[in-house]
Amino acid sequence: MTDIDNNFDGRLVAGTRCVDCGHVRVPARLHCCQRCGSVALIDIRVPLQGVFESWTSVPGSESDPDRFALGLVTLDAGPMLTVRVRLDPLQQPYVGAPVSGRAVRRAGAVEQFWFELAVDELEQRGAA
Amino acid sequence: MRQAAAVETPNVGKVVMRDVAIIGASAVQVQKRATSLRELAVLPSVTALADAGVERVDGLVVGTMASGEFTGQHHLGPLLADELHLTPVPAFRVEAACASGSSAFHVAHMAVASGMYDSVLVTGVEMMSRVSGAVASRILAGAADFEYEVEQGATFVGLNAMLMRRYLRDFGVSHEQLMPFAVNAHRNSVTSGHALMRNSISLQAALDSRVVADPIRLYDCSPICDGAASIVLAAGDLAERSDDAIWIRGAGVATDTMSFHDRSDLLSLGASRIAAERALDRARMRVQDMDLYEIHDAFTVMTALVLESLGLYPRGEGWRAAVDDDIALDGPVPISTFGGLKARGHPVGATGMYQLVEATMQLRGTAGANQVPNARRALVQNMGGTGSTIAVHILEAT
Repeated sequence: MTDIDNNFDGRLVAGTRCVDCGHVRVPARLHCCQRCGSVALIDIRVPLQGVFESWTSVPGSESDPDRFALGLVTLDAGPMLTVRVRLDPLQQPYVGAPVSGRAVRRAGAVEQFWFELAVDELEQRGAA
Repeated sequence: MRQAAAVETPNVGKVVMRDVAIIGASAVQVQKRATSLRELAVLPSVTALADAGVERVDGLVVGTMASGEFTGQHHLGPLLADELHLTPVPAFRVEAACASGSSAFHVAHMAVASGMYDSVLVTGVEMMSRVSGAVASRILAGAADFEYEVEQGATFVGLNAMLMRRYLRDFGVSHEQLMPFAVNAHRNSVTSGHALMRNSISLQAALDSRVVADPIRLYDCSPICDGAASIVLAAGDLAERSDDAIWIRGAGVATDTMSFHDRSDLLSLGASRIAAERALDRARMRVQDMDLYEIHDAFTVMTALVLESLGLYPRGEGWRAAVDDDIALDGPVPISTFGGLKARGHPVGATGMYQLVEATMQLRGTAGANQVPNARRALVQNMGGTGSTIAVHILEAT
């Protein structure tokens, strides 16, 4: 088990940074940098906070408690992820809206990324 | 820099290959109620062999995306070889999601061009309607990154919806400016003998269709369906003897990141641009030299992006082709000439082969009411995933 596993709290996820070009990737690359091909990669932990790039509704029952929107989020650290988004019906998402998320671990599968609008940050921006 | 091992390929594009031609072509009508994958695959194969005037071939390649998941049947190479009484012919299956058909064609082309075989039968087939729409959607999502897109809730419609939202926003385009792609496809499908949908639609009806995944509406999408199409390729004397051989002048395949979110530019199909450049370079032609373009119009927004990737329209302006009706049969950029994926139908693993058969019909002058005037050259572009695999072929009449 790695340090990353020991420190897992869902707000940080495992990624890699390329020593040569600085490219950050989530999930961690297994062999070489996606951008430059360098094999000099270091393991890092990446905060799940960033901004909306796009989103869409996902067909399903209105009463489904697990109902979610599908989103694209660019993390502040650089990489983009496809994520599940919990949207309050009163919230209006927009491109560039601040979001934060959590990785949910599941047995026998990769983690799922659940995001929501970063309400505190939105309010701070509104107050400013 | 410490890089992963690179392979030197000094001979790519320089090795002399044999000229290869299409000498037989056939497609069955796209449908929603096929009863047998076997029957679907056999019918156009038999007709294409008859069209070519041959009874045997040196190889057989089958393109299918997910016959195992849709019908339970894998191992289509020997299945089709057996049904056609072609055993012990070497037979293979090629898979590249929605680009499986054209990828199978590409492999067959390489086999003949290299001199390994003199003739090859290629068949693209998919039977999707046996499973429910929800199950089909799940199977199709396998063309995306399963762990980091599908497991995060993505469907193919969902990914294209997010792409379309950005296209509309970033380029200041309205839905009304993309939907004419669907109207054109349906207009051409009315007289298309093998199309699934033979009905014209109004722009307003398309815009009023139900939302599938905001902002994508029903008429932005291509339908789930069943179909199969076949081509016989040949080189040398066999091709020269054919009165209506259609020559493959260029071929290019390229790949891009598996996940849509890993693209450096969400609104650019890099692999499509590269595959087209490779194919046109080998053909020693320009994209403007083509008389028609069968392109991967699975979603209206993808149609615009493909036209931009081919260099036919500037970035963010592919929608102009639809609004200005450049894409009509008698326009400067005819596309979807038999209805395209939108109206002819999109039986995924067969789609690339339908496009190639349709281009062959155009270049032979046998397209009937769908004929593009004086068609001599065609570009055929087929896509797997959200642009992760692209195959482009350049065809020319004798």
